[in-house]
Amino acid sequence: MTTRIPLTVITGFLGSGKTTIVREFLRRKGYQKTAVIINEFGAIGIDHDLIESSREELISLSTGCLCCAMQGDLAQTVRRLMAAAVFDRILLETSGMADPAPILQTAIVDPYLSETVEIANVVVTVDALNGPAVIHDHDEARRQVALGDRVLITKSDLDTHAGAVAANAVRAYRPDVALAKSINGDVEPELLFAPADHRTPWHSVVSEPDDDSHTHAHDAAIASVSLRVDAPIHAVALTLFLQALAENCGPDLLRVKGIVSIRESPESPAVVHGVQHVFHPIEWLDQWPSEDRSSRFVLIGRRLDATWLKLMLWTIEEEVEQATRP
Amino acid sequence: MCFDTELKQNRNVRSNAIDSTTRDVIRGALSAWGTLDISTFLKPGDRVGAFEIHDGSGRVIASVRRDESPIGLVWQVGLGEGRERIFPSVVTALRYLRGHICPEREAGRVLFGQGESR
Repeated sequence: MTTRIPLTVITGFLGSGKTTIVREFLRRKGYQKTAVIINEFGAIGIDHDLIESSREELISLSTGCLCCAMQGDLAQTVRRLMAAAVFDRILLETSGMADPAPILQTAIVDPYLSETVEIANVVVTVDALNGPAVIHDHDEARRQVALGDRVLITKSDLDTHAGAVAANAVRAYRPDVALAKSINGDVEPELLFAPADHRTPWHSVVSEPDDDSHTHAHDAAIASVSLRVDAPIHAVALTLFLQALAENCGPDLLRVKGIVSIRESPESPAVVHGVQHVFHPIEWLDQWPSEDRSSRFVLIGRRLDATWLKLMLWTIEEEVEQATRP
Repeated sequence: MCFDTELKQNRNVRSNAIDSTTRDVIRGALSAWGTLDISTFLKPGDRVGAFEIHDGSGRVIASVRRDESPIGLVWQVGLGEGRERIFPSVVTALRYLRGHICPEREAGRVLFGQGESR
């Protein structure tokens, strides 16, 4: 197995404190071998945040780290970075209006990137003061929160109560997401990057105890849905289920994470994680991370009905069982 | 209870289960596609176990039934006046139905990354 370097995407709405966090991180001793890519993907144009970020390039360079205002595609930029120096990690800051999904998809499907980097974390900054209103009013902010592994509440030192309100606003969309605070850009490095054992943080998300199938709906319709299935399923049923998700939920499906008990390999659960219809290669764990051996999925998107999704999985498994029965 | 009666009852229980599965699968799919209660309505059909999808004007645009067959349970999907098509998988049945009811809706195709399977 080749060693891939962790790539953390830091995203968040305009003015939510992303650049401050990046700048403070680069000032830490021992993290000089961090490549920082500042840019955005998607249809949104260069915005206020990017211009500010470009100014940070000088500060970052002065600490021995490399900042790169990326104009081309992500693969080309990472290739250029890797050719220029040896890096231990990559921090990619999006613009305030960016949708992180295309970045994640690119990192998954691009042959060079998928061999070179491993998505460690998607960290989302939410401003304690403006965050709740921004999440309520802007689809971009909701998508960022929906796609995050961890949400950092910023500026809560200015108003402690506002920090709690912002945390609740985030929880309304993402009851499963890891929450932490960042004051003046200070954040522990482990909150940005993956655990040392290289296990994706998604493991911890899906292995957290959760109620049986339920939905956390919200006015704006982006919801987090949890499914739990006790009986193991066929491997092909899992593939068909993912296909059914992609086909029927289409653009409403933002993210899928799951740890799945497979009939053909009951001791080695399969870990699936995808952004919209693009999935990482299925990861097979050597063993179950806990005593809980049920299959668990966390899906984030719009119009996701937990009862129907569970019925679809059950129906597909039943059909596969019927087709493979001797 | 004689064997025949028990068998018939078992078949009825199974048939009711098939009916409710059909109804719930189709209702959920229409909802996921964003068409239920907007442009389409789901009603029990004339044939046993069939469910009809009506458009806003009451016209039947599709009917769906799940039934036993020599190859096991299958999905029978009829579109308008056309003949029924049979699908052994709910995935392909819904794909066919969606292509007729909301062909403009974007449907993702699962794409797995090219990195090594960890």
